[in-house]
Amino acid sequence: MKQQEENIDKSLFEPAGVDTLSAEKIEKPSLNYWQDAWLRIKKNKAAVVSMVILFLIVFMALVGPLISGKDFSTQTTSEANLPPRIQGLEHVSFLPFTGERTLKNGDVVNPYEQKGIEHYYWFGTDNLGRDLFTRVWKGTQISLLIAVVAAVIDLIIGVAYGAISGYFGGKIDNAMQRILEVLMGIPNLIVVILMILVLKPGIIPIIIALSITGWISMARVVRAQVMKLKEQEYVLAARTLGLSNFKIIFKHMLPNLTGVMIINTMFTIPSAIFFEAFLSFIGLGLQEPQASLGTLIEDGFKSMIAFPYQMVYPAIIISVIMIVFNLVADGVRDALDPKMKD
Amino acid sequence: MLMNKQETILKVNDLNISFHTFAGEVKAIRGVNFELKKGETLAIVGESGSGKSVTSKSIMGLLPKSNSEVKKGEILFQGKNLTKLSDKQMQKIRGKDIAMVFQDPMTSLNPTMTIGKQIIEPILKHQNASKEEAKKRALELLSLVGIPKPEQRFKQYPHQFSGGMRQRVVVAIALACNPKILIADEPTTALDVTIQAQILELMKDLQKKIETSIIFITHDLGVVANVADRVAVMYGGQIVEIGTVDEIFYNPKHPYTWGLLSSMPSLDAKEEKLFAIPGTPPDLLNPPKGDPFAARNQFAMKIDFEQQPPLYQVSETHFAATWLLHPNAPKVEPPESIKQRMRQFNAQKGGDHIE
Amino acid sequence: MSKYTEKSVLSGGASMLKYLIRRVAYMVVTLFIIVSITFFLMKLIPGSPFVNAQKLSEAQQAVLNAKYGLDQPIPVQYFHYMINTFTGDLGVSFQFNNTSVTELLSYRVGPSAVLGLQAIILGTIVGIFLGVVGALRQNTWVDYSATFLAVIGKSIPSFVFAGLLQYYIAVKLGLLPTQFWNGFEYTILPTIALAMFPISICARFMRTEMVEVLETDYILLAKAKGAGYFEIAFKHAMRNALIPVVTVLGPLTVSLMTGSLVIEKIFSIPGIGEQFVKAITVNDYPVIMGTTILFAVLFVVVVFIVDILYGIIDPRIRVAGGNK
Repeated sequence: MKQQEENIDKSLFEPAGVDTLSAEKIEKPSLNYWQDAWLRIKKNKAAVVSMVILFLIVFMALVGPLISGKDFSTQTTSEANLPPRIQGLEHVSFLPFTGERTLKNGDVVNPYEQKGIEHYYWFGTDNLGRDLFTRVWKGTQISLLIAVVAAVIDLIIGVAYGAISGYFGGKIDNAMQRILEVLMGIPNLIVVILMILVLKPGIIPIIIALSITGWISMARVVRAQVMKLKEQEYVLAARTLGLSNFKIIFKHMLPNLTGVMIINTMFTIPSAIFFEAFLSFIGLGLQEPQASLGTLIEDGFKSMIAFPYQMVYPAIIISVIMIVFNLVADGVRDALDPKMKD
Repeated sequence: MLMNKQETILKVNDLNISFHTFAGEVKAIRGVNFELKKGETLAIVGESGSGKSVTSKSIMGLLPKSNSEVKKGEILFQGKNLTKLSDKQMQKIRGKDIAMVFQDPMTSLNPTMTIGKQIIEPILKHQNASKEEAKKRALELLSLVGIPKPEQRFKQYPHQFSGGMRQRVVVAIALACNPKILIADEPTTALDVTIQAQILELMKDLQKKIETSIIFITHDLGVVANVADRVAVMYGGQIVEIGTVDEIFYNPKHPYTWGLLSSMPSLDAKEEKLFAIPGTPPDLLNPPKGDPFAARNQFAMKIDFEQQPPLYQVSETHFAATWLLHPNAPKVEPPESIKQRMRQFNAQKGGDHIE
Repeated sequence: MSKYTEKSVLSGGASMLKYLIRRVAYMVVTLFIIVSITFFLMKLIPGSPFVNAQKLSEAQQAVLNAKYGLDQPIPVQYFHYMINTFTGDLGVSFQFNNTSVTELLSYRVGPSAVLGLQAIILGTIVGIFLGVVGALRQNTWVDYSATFLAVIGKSIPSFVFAGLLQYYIAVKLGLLPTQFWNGFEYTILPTIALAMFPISICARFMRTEMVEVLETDYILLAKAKGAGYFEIAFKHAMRNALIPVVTVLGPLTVSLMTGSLVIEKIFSIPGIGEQFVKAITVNDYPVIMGTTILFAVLFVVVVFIVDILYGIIDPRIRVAGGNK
């Protein structure tokens, strides 16, 4: 609507010589899938903090039993049921590491002094005089070991089943899916319990029992992803070039499956830890003197009222592990899921 | 068609809207001005990212409050500035005085509600009608938009309708309370060509019957030619040219409009290659300080990169924001197809302009 | 444009019937498989099923074996077992001589059912509430707290919750009873402990669904019609978001079953879970098998109901498309 009256320098009206082709270049740097995901996960503060805590816990699980100077199975009955005491923190009254305990009538006693015990038990001792600090971290080791091995087995079986079912489709897929449906209709709990009853509790039987049912969710997720990938053109291209089915699945699809595989595994591990603890709690866990977080909680529960610390420390550790794994798993899933808008 | 002395229903003045994102402030609308007169159809044309959808949603107050901000400007309707109204106040206007039709009919309707319920909802809300009266009106509307057996259809769910029929239902919902303004945001983009034509016919028809003003948003110039009285061309968050349909199609002045028109396939065109404007729209995080189209404009002058061009008047109804209309600007030859159009225009009008 | 045909509703009904029959058949097959697996696994357990077997002489063991039919060839045992099970005879408990397993279970169903139902109700109501609130106030502290609560509920094992609740609230603060099942207040702590997992599942799910629904075009259109905040949330969004939540009932039931085992143990509640745990400790096979089957039946039935429910409440399935 307005006519400009200003004096604009005539030279400004010369052509700018715009090269329209250069207008085609793309401004933002292109990131590949993993870089993108890493950026996203870094933004998720809860996940980042959780990852740090997770590293710490795994570190302690490996190092803890070594630094305490005590063995996890040595029983010293004269030093049974001692409350936690840590050098340097023993005089900080609001922390529970003073070596004192409060009796039912309200008296505060220090069993260390009463029995003339010189050394320190950082998390106290259990009813057989075993050092709880060592047992807790040893237990964490074992719980994690069981969970990770079970998760890896689930991964292998699940990926194989899902990939084959999804890739070949048709009758094979149908049959495999029917089987899967029936298997899904059986509550895991039941199969796991029955398996342990048959195989008798122990590390290997527990791993087997956990693996038998855990692969199902991985298989479903992998199958869905494979079916999606199957439609992509590069698969068709590979086929046309004469690549064998096997090679196609492994060379082309597998890299694109790592996303869902990681996500699913991140969720399987806490589930396995839970199941193992659960089994221990109902008496189907590891046997003495082996310890896992579950057995420790079970033992601690028995004397919870008199010696609460015996249950509290393993309970805290298992809760923290589960929370942290779930937060990291959530973060990983959100980061790897392409549907997330920035 | 358009009479200059018609009443103005909506006036947008110097509207500036930004979005606050993780990456920074995206200046999506940078100084938009236009009017809508009673009974007319104004088409807003532009590429994705030009700001046309944002403009329409801002009129309805449907931009997400959490990250959008109206930085400057006003939207005047019935004596009120819509940008300053609270959500509660806007609720009284939405669906009643201003209504909207969206692009994808497959997702615009609530899948778990019968369409009857969805149509009577605005009627019950805004017009204090009883359920029976509302239902009667809804059945009328269904007939009006050309849906057979309205009694049966009333009780059905959206998934029982085809895409074209669903869009008719959406139009019926929009017109339920005889709104003064209907905003159609790419209403035919998701439909087959034949259905497109039907929906456009329907809208033109209804406009005559109900006297609504329509703001028609699209990127498809073919649709514009069919439906619009006036056209506003948007680019980079600004209106770069505005005028009547004839003026825009046959006497365009802005290089971007030339580009748009040239890229329309035409049976008359002598050129072999289909023209496409190279490059991509500007990054609105750091909008260019000059003419937003400069980087893709083969006719750009140095000043296009320095200062934003003002809106030059070409006729009473035609304005274009391009430095090419400054007295100091060199004469440029628009692309061949554009020149052809201008020749037609001049032949008809006895000529206004440049050659 | 194709015509709407009246018979599409009818044909919707007919295919619904076919679907139902298929689901029932599937249910029966699954149960059959579960019972068989249970049977064979039980047979694989080494050692004698009888308490204090070492104190018995060979002859006495033989008599017992004959009495319980354990001396017969496996296929025969299997056959008898299947017939018995499907006619409701689950055998007789080894622990409590001459009490039929069915009878034992029926005494115990009450407390478990009450506990389970209370936990489900508490879980779904609180969970849905948290999920909706989180979705409506996305990315605010309200959302973060609700999500965090959900993560905690999912992560911390139910027995840890139960133990903590029992210790701090019942023992230390003395607010509620620590054990047993003698009145409503006895049910409070166990219900809370059992409900934590359901709360977290419902909350997550509901939030995800609500967020998805709130971003749809039809919600935007509802806003464009002038609908207000609460109308949008409850009248428009929730009815769509709630439908998929029905699928959560399956995992919920499982969590209740697992949970009941430990929670009943911790709080000494005379329910099925507690009995199951005891039976495991003493190898009382008929009880173990009977309870296993009961759980399995419960689960399969719940899955079946969920399938049917879905078909009923989602109009897209219930009313088959007329024309497309």
